[in-house]
Amino acid sequence: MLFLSTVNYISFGKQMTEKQVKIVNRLGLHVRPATAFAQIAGKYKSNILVIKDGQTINAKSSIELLTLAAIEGTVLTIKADGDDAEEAANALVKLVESKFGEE
Amino acid sequence: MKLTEYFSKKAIVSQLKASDKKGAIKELVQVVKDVYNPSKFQVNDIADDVIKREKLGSTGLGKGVAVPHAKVVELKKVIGAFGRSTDGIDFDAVDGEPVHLIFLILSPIGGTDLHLEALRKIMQAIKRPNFCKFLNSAKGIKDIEDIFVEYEEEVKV
Repeated sequence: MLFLSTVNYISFGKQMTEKQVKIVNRLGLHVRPATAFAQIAGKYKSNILVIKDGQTINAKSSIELLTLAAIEGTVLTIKADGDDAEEAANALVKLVESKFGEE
Repeated sequence: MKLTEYFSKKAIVSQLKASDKKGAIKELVQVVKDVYNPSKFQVNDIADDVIKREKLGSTGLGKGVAVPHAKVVELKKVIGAFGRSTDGIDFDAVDGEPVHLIFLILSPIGGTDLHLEALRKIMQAIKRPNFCKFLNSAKGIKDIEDIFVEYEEEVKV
């Protein structure tokens, strides 16, 4: 299972979710995956953050995602906050687990 | 590696002659050839690889910045060239805006971590307030080099 953990909670009537996912494509989070990730994240209304080793960035920015330099094997935490948080986090986990369509 | 090592003074073009994406890529690949003269480095072949890569999805990531790149067999480390176009070049960027600042990155095959590290370095710099603005208003190569040097001094602190 690549899906490491999920935490769901309700805060002030809003949905919040936190999921961990491991980068499994050989080339890591390079430009194309980062662009795809930011584009999918951008489709959702929720605020979405990605955390790696204490560094927190905005999931909707490919530029910020690339500052993570996340190689294969890196575990990312996706934290979504908003009405479509669960859906957004699931879509992003799926994207990472599908190796961004790469090897 | 520092920004000034990826993009040394000799590999800075303060005003690109090219006005289109392909031309700009070729111009910068030629700069890498002229400055580093890597063995078996064929400008046309490498430029074609970079252009092919662009067709998979533009490396124009917004803020008027693009990071065209390719893997090159013979390289041992990442080498690059920086080019500026004050007029702007249509790079099919994600935000649809013209690109003014082009960071060409050539990485060794298998050097995935080195490639990601170079990208990280550039992205951290362009995220910084005024970094792109200063590059866009720089008067020439020396100014651009100074901006890279000053950036490294600031992040060191």
